[in-house]
Amino acid sequence: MDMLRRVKLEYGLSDLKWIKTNQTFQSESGKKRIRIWKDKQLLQWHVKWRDEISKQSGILLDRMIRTKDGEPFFICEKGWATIHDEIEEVFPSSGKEKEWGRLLGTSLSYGLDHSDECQRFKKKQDIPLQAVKKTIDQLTIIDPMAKIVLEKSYFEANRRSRKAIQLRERIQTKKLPILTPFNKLADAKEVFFNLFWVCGDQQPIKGYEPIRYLLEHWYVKNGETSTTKLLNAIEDYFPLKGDQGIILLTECLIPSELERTVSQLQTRGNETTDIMEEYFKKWETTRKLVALLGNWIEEDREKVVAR
Amino acid sequence: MITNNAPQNSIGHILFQYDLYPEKIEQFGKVKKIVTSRGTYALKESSMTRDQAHWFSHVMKRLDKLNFKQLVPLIPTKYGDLTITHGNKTYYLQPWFLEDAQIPDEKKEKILFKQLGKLHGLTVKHQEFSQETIETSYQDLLNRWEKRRIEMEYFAEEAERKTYMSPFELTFLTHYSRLDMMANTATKYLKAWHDECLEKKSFRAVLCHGKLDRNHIYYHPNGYGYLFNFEKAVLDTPARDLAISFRKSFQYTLWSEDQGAEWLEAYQKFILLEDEEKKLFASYLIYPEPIFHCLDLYKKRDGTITELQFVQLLEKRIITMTRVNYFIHKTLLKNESSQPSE
Repeated sequence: MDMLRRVKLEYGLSDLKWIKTNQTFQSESGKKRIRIWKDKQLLQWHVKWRDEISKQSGILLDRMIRTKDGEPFFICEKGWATIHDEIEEVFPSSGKEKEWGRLLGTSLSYGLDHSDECQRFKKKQDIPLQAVKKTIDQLTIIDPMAKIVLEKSYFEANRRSRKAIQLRERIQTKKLPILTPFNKLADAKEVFFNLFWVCGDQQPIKGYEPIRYLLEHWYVKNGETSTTKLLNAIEDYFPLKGDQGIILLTECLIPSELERTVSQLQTRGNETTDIMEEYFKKWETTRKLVALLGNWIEEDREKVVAR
Repeated sequence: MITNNAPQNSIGHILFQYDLYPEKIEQFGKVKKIVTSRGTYALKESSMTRDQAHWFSHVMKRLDKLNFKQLVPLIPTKYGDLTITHGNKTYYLQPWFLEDAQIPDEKKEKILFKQLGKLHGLTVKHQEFSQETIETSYQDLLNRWEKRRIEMEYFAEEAERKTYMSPFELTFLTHYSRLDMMANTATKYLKAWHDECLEKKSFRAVLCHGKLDRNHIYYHPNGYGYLFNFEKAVLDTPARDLAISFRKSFQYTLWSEDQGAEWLEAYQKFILLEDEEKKLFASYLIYPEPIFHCLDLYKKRDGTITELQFVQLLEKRIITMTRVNYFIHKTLLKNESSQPSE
């Protein structure tokens, strides 16, 4: 049966028309998106995550619209299908730190509390720097200057890695939150001046990688003051100045941008200039973010000492 | 279509969760009447906390499972939630009901107590006996009543010391000893309930609406009454909920004991009160709280109600309480000794 006819039947919607076949459609209740899930456990995780985060934070998410029978999905030929609102207007980031902080803080808090719930979502392994070094040595077709920069970066990356390990050893807890990828600021949409977060359908990630990328994007777009405001807003819902903040700091110290750059150069050696330009920017952003985050975490500790 | 062309403080994001696009919104207190092409709805704003809203949703789902049809249903959001908590407010949506304006006043309470009886009858459960629960409830109520009695005694003593008493104070003092007797009788019935519960080693709880009166029931033209506003719903003894509704209903007319008998009959068609529950109900009703409350209002008077109106209110309540006394002994406890033993 045609998907739109199924949707009509399952949701009691009418006047349906594809905007993009099998992806988005127009209904009398606005634009909607169909997502097909092949992994039921992942789907159920997403249903629960969205419901809980939305209820606990009061922020709208692209939750699963319920069928006429109150179910969050229906079975289709390709797996399980869910329907979501499709919003186009983008929610701002600068000046809206409180709303973002509420979303991220609640997600971290819930993600940490339910850290042990689903063992299949593992933390990504740290980058084996030796392998990165080997790849740099093998890069022959790139500009020799770029190669020298990468070789020097490797030593700095090594220092960052060691620092991350040292910090990790200082903290008591090893527990990590499970999060959906908060990678793109553009996934924040606006509904009547309110934040509407699009979770997507990706595998959740254990650890702080999603927060690191979001903070990097935020820093580049909105600068230092706004990033500090965002961290303060997260702190209202989740104690980021404690051990969990240190874990985030170690995540930011991991030199993943070097690994990414080297692997890009391996396949697209003729775009060396652009890739290296991007690499310098990323490296600089991470450096500034680590400094800001470190100072922000230390801020209160210094105040306590000064008193 | 979803558009963001609405004022920033609008309820657009709440209605978005119902996929409702209003053509007209009217405000009635805490309720917004939402007129849409799909129908007319009532959006209620309440100050329930997240936990209270959770319990409220649970209550409504439970009543739905029990097939209790005489309530105004909640309409779930497109995500299946019965309530939406936003900031410190909780919202929920119900169909807009049109009341039957023709229904005679004297029929209203009969319908109300019939529905309360249905609600209690459907949800009644014998609870696991806990002496501690009985003792705590008994002691808490006793302490509260004693505190109230002392406040009234203080008011009476102060009034007596005055050279010229106000008409209100004079009326109060005229009836004071009778009120004191009522408070004592209430305490004795409470003790009787306590002792019988301990002896029987059992007590019942029902789902109590918590504040049912004419303002929380829609009188449908089909003759049924539909209950709403379960925000204060709790599991408690039927006697307490029944007493609350009795007290609230007293205020509409100069109540008579025959009306009380009718109300009780309408209620007991669905759930018969057990002996100890009757004692508890009697103690709640006979304790002269409505009169004490009248005093509270008088003490806080700001001139919007005249002295004469206060006296009239007090007199009306004293008459009601006298009739309550007759009702308790002649109707409710007619097969038992009229007074509990010392």
